[in-house]
Amino acid sequence: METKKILVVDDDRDLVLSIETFLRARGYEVATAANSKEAYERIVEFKPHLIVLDVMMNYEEEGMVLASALKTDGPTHSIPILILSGFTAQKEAREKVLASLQGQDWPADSFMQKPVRLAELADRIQVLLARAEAARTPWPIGEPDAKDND
Amino acid sequence: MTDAYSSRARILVVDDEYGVRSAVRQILELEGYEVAEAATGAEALALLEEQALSEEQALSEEQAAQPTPTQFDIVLLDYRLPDTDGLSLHKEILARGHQPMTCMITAYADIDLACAATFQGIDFFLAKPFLPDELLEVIETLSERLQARLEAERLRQEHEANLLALAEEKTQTRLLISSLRDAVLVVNREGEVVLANEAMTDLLGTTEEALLLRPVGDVLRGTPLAWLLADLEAPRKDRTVGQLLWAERTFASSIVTFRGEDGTARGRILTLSDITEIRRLAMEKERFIRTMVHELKSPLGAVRSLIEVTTDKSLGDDLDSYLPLLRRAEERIDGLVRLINDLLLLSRSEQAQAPGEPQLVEIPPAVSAALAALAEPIAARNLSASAELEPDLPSVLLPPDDLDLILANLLGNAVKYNREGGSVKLRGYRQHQWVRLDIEDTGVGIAPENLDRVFTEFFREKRPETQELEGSGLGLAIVKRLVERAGGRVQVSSRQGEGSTFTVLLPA
Repeated sequence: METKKILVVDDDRDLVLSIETFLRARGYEVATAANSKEAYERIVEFKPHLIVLDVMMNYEEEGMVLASALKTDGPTHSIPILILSGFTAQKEAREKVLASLQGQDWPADSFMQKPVRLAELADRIQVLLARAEAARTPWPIGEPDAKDND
Repeated sequence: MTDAYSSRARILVVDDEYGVRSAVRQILELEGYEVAEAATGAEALALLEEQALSEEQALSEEQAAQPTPTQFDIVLLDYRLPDTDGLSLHKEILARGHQPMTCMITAYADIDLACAATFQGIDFFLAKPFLPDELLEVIETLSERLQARLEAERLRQEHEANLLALAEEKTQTRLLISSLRDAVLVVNREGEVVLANEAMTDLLGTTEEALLLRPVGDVLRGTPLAWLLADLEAPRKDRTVGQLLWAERTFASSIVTFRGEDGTARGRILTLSDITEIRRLAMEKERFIRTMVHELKSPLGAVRSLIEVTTDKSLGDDLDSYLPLLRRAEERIDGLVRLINDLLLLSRSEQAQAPGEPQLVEIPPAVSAALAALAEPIAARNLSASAELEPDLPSVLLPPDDLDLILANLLGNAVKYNREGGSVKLRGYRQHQWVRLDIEDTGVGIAPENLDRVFTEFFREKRPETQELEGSGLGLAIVKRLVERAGGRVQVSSRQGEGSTFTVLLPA
């Protein structure tokens, strides 16, 4: 089976380091970014299968803006995003994302409230990846032989 | 009313015939009346004046200023007198301000005189000769009338006093309403405006005169109050409350039905209270709490993850490979403890009264101690630190701990945000009524747009240069509150990339 690539975007370097270490131990390839700008660069060069994204980085909405940009921008719209919400109410974060995406469906299980248990995070990643696989959304579009490289 | 009138009436008999006078006197005195006699008009007037004078003397000074009481309650007047006639004498008595009950006694009983006497205000008419019982009956009737007159007068005075009090109360109520900060509009049962105070007319941009007795619908249509009309015109409840935005301010609205004693609705009172500031504070508090929760949860989450990596043995069985992660966990916990301490300090600095007694504190030793405490990071980053304090710098009045905290925070920041090999300069001097402390660094500086935000709780500039630096974001908020509590001010100026200068002014 191919090695799945996960991009972790969060400005807390300790949390990023933990997630990275934990996921590597489970056979994932992991890249990290501390802000949106770095995230865009990694997406282009690293081509992740899934993004773990903190909604509240340098400014409150940064993660939200990044998420909606990725979802509306052609080649990245099919990448599953797992949103880590620092808000007390997870519902609030979800509504904000939905509002910014204007009507797009955003699966309820793409949200996890901080602080997260890494084991649960890994489980959730597995679920989302399996679902994306089932929907046959290969990355990247335009490189149908990506799978064969592994 | 008073005891004087509940006792027997005092009577003056004016008659030139001695026999009549003494007979009358005897009859009346037997019945317990007090009687005086006068044979002529002049004598009668003299007696009236005399009595008035003696009563005045009997009165205390402040009472003397009050109107002269009626000296004789009843005057019996003969029509024919040697020096005048009864009607003229009566006129004169009235002219001098006496108001006794009067009865005309005359042998010449004829209708014209009776008419004239009554017309002039003579209360009764008694024809000579008369029987003792007839006289007594007249006197009793006059006594009763006198009582009735006095009672009526008392009631009238009381009523007038009540009206006056009522008018005064009304004026006071109006004054009260008009000076209220809340906007008030009162509508009667017919839905017409009957009162609008200044705050309300200011909001509506009109005058009270222009609103009075106009249908409330006309007045409020097209204003942000229009949606309240239903409740003003036909309320469903006796009290409704709401919130509205008007001219960028938030108002709490309340409509209350007021009822008469019988319970029927008399009208409705609309009040608008400006709650903009309260709302702002509430939002500020909410924001503070959200941020605080975030700031507390983040390190906890990080520590949790760092530990979970360890218990998961993500890096294999070699314990050493987890040491960097566990050290980070320790650091995050230390940071969390610092944050909690700062939160406590912030909360304490919010109290209007400093917990410790303010004392006159000398600045130089406090500065030396603060710099000494920072010796390690200063040396580690090759900073040069200096303090130039004017000789005879006045002491400042505040709790000593507060000054230590102010200096520790400001000098601590100057060190923390400095560049390698930079400098920290503290200058202290007297400026007018202030002791001024300038703390200047050669650090990263602050973006101009953030200058007024650096004193806000949890505000931290997110910049690549400062990303790795630990800090609760509460230090400057604490400094600002402590300085202000001591009656001082704190300011900042900065050039990005060159450094910042924090200025503290404390009352000398």
